[in-house]
Amino acid sequence: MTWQVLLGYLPTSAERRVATLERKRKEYLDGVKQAFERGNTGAAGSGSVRGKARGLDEAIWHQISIDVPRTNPHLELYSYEATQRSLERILYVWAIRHPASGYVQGINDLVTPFFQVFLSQYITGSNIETGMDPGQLPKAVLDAVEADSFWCLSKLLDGIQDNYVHAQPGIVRQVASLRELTKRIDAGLVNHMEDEGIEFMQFSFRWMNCLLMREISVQNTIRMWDTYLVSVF
Amino acid sequence: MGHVLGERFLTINTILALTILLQSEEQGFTEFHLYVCAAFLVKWTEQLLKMDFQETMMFLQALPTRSWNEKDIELLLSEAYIWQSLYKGSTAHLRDSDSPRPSAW
Repeated sequence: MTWQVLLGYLPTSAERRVATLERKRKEYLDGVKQAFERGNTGAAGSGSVRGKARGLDEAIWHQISIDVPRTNPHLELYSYEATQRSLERILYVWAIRHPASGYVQGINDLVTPFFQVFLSQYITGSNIETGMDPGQLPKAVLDAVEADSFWCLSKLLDGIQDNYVHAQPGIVRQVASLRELTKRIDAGLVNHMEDEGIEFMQFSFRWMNCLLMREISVQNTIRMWDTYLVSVF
Repeated sequence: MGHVLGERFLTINTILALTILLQSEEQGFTEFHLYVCAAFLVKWTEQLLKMDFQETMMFLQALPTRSWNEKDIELLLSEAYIWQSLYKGSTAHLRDSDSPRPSAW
């Protein structure tokens, strides 16, 4: 719950919090309904086929349906149907609500720490990453986890939206800043890398785009975000 | 720095105080992440200095962080804090002043 408060998703007063949670969760579920019911023929099939049948924004849906199965493929939790469908809905609803950026690869990674943390509130004593199919949870619980993840992802991305608009100017600036900063900290390293023809853009774009999530485990990312959220928001 | 999840809670008041204190910082999240990335990169200086282009690119694609645990992350974060406190004041040019944070924050 602390993350939800820190990101400004939940108010600090306990009573208001319950009401807000309820309202926000409903708002998200309505959003899902709206997004997916447009021309819904109820067809089921693989990614883009399903998208087409539902009259979804095809380009966005196509990319999301490709990226979701590739999200943390080494973790069992992300191999379950229920997990993948949840992530698809979160990402799709976020994308159509943010037409300026739409869906950008990398956002699929950013949602996972939230999903995992909120899911773990309902599971005791077992490792969330293995041996737990979220599909076995009551639908209301999974809906709540999904809605909370959606709103926290939204809050997080609000703060760094410049990273995800066309040409990703925020990230380009940060990569340049990282080079400057590293030069101050360790000029020898920067000189060596530049002698070898290595550009910061080649490796650190991803560090910015995915907040180092591709470099370290989800568990470690969660630990890191703890500090980010406490120290920054 | 305390731990928000799991057993080791900072009290909500401490968190709010910290939040308010630090919200006044211009760039927050993005800026601190920059220092984390710098701390992350210079962790590998010793290895990187011995590598050529090809080796470097392969190494950076798959950094040996699999065995990292909480302690490693804490060390990384504290190194980032150190760099931030050393360079923050002198890196005005690093800030992207043309991207104000949303007013909701």
